[in-house]
Amino acid sequence: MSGVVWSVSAALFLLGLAGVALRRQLLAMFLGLELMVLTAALALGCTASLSGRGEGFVAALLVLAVAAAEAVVGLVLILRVRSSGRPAETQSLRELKG
Amino acid sequence: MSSLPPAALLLFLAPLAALAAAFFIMRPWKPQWTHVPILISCGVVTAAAAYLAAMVYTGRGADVTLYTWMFAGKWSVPFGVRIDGIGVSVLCMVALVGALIQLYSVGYMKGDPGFSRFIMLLHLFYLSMIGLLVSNNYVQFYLFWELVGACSYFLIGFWSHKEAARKAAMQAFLTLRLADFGLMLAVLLIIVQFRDTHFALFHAVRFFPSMYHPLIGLLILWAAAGKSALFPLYFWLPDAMEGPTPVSALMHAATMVTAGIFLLVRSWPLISAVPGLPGLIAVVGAVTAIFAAVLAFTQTDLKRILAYSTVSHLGLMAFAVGLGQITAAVFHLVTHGFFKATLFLCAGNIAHASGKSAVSVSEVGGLWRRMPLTFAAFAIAAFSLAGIWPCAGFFSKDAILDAAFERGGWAWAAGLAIAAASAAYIFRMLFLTFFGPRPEQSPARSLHEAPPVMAVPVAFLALGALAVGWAREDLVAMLFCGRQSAVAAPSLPELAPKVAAAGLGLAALAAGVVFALTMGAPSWDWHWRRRRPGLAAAFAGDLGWRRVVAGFVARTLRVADVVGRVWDHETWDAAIEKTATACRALSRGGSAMASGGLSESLWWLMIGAAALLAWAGLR
Amino acid sequence: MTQGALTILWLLPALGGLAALAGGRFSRWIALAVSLAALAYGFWLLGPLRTGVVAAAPQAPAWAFGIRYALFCDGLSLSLCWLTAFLTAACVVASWKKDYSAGYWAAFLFLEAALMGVFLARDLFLFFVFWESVLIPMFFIIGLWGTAGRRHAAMKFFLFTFFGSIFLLIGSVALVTLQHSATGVWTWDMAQLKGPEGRAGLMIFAAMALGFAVKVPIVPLHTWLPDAHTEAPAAGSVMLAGVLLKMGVYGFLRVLWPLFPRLSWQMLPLLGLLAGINVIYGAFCAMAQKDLKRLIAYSSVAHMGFCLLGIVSRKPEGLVGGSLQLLNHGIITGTLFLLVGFLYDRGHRRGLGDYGDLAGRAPWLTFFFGFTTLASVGLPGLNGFVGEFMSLLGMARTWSIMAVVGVAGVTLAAAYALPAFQAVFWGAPGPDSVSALVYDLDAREKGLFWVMAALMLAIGLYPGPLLRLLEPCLLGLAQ
Repeated sequence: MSGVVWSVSAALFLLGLAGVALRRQLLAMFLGLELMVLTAALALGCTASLSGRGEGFVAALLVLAVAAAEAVVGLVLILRVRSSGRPAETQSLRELKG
Repeated sequence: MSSLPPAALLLFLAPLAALAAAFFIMRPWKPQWTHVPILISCGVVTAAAAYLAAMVYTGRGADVTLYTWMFAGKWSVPFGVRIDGIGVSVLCMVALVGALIQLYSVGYMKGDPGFSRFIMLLHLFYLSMIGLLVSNNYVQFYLFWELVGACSYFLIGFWSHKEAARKAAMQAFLTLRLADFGLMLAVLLIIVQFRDTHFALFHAVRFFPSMYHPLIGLLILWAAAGKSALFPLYFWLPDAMEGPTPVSALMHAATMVTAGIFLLVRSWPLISAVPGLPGLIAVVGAVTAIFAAVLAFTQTDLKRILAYSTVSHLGLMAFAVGLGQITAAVFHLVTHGFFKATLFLCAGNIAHASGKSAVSVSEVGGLWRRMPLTFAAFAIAAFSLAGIWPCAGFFSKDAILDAAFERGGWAWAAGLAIAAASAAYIFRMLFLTFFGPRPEQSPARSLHEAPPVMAVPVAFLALGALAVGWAREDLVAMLFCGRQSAVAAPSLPELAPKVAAAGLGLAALAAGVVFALTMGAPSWDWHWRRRRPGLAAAFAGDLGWRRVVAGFVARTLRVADVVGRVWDHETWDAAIEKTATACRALSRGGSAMASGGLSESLWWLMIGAAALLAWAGLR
Repeated sequence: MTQGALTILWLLPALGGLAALAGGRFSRWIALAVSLAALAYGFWLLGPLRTGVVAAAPQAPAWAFGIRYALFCDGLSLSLCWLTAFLTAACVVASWKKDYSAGYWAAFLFLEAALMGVFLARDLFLFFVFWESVLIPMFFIIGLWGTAGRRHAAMKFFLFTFFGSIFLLIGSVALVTLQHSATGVWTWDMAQLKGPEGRAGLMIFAAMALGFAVKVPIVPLHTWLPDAHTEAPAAGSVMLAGVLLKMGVYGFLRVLWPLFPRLSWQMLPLLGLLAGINVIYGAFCAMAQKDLKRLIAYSSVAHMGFCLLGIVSRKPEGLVGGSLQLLNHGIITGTLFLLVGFLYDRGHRRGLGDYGDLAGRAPWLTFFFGFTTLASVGLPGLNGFVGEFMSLLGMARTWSIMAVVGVAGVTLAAAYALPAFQAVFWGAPGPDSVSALVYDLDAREKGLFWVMAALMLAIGLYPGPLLRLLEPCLLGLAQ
């Protein structure tokens, strides 16, 4: 994998990670999560295009499908949290305490 | 090894049977008749003792094992009986004096709610003392030695509702226990060294020197010092006067306290083989004798005077042993038993008649008119104690003085001092109690002569105090007969007229001086107490020794408190219990980490993943 | 003596315990019948022991890793089984009037079964199983039927002794594994195991000794004892002090000495020193106590020090004397705890200053308490002296300094026992004394104590039969 692809993917990945770790709102964390997944797809696509083999594009498509499915589940969960009257923030989800 | 004479078995069986009868039959059924089987047993025992004495006198003896008491591997301890001159001579005195005192106590304790318990305890003590005298080895001797101590605890504290009696009993038992430390350790060392503890085997012990000898000798001296109230372990004896008078008479005058001297006599081969030890015993004995005699002179309670007098005479007996005159020591032991018992029982007569248990010098006076028999008995015994011819005490004390004279130097000076001091205090007691009354005294109106059941034993004992000395040749002959006495005992020293004159002269001088002091005006005895209360208090505290003892006790209790409470409970156990607190704190800390927050979990997840990746990357 | 005959000795109380659980109203009768039957059977086994040989090599099939169901019995084991059965029967008789549920009586029977198993086991794993199962009924006895602080005391007792047993397990497993790697044979049979040499042996010895030391108890691992003894019900304290403490010393005798003959002899200075510390430390702690049961508990620490002094000395007198003292101490301390239990039933207090002048109100209680106190103090003529003297003699022949310490301990015993007796029975009652509530013993209680007193006197004056029973199996351990 060329250096540019590697560094751009890593930077975007870390950005997404930072988003997950540092944001409080669930939707913002979710955005960061999606960024991390899409970075993986990006890295796969770029590598495939640079090396000229097609398996990379297939893998990137699979990743996108997984990301979509995950988005559905995640957004439904966030909506459920909202509909139970609590703000969609990490502090309000403490059932596993102790 | 001749076979056991049945009389020796009777010595044990009669008291055991009597005690069983008294405990199981008489006490539940008719407690006021508890004394009947007991007195029968006393008579049987005395007869048996006389028979055994005759047997030994004609040259026969016995050393028989009844059964093997303890054993393991190649070691064993028998339970046996030894009939020899030394044992039997003391046995006769103990049996006779004990029987007479038990007869006396029937009258003395009449009406006391604990009458039957008292009679039985006294007889149990009697049995133990007899067992001690006929034991044939050290371990069995220790058995009866401790049993005698245990009986004394219950008898001194007999009137347990009185705090002074309780404290005195506890003090006596603990002091005796402290002394028994010495005897038990000595017995253990004897077994380690010689493998066997039979008395018979020790007569040749000086041919087998060993490094344990001095230690064993010192430990035996320590044990004897406790039991026979020698300095420094004498202080339990005066306080033990809290017990009823028959107890004081039997235990603390005639029998139990002489057990220590008896131990020294039995162990003489062992002791004489250690250079310097007999000298030490003589010094301890002399110091005790003089110290106690001085204290006896300053006491105000009748029984306490006699108690200190006993301490003094025990010191005198130890002095005799230390000089090598074990025959004289045994002789004095026998005569002392008679005259001291008489003195105590006379004091008991006075106490009983006045209705109190302790009589002070201020509550008597001029009793020769009201209690003539008691006066006569007391006078005879007092003469005997002071060593005035022809009483028994003259011969025994003179034998010791002769030995001291032969030794010369400090021993002779000590002997003279003891003679003078003994005469001084006993004549003081005689004059203050029976002559007068002095103005400071107020004798009770109820004082009358004792009933026959009490007067007859006193009379017999006084007769003994007078006459026993005339049989001294036979006594000495008996000491050498019988089974090989484990001791090569010298005969009594020759009666030197110079010594006898010195002793008698001093006694008479002391009597005269004391008469002037007590009967003259102003009555000196109360006078100096009023003038110098500090000095009176010093004498009451045994010139500071009691404070030393109290300090020792307090320090031990403080150590116990520090070990038991401060260290064990508050420090060590608390530290162990802290493990429980630590565990709880750990678990609380652990559960604090599981806060249930999403962000925290994510952080842990990321950190863990990064660590794993790093580790994988590094490998 | 067949394996089956020995199995009955522990199976009978176990089945009796199950029956008592189901018995409801009759549980106490079942308990009495079973405990007396076990005692009688134990005595009957003396015949086969005398004539027959100790059980031959076990024929039972191995379960796994050489673990077998194997029992055996010699004089030492049988005498301890007698003690267990006797004290259990005494506990049942003593608790007769109490209104406890069926579980109480069952617990004692289960305890008896487990204890018998400990003393009869020949297989080390079986020994450990029984060792641990002793803790369970005892935990319930203390925790359910004890006095005020029972929960804490039960938990402390269980955890502390369990902690020690872990080391015992580790040591046993290591021992067996090492033996297997050396000889290629898996066996847990105590007669066939041999302790390895060198560092491994030392560590195994230390681990197993630690496990036994907690039970003896050896200072400083003793702090479970005062709480457990104090908070347990009277009968529970009897079993605790009378039999459970003996398990530790029995472990030393049966397991450690035969497995490590040379190493245990080399450990004599350390073990002797610890035993001496036990004697003095226990005595001083007892002197500082104001609670009767705690005082007797600490006196047990001191007495076990004497037993330990005896058996550590490895001389015939010490070994036999120490073993005899196990029996003696069981009887004496059992009686003391029963007496204190009866006193507590009447006055509901245990402090030394809570009574006073009971001699007039309860003469028989006073008599038995005084008698037993004298036995505890080691008065010759009663059984305490025989064991103590022989133990000290063994120690004197090996290491005289410790004998001096031991004799000092005998002297100190009077210093803590007699003031306690005097404070309760002779002293003047304080302002808030409960002496007025105390009445004398009834016929059942008196009968129980007459049996105990007779035993104490008989063993004290004529210990011959017991000594002959104990001697043969112990002489082999002597150095």
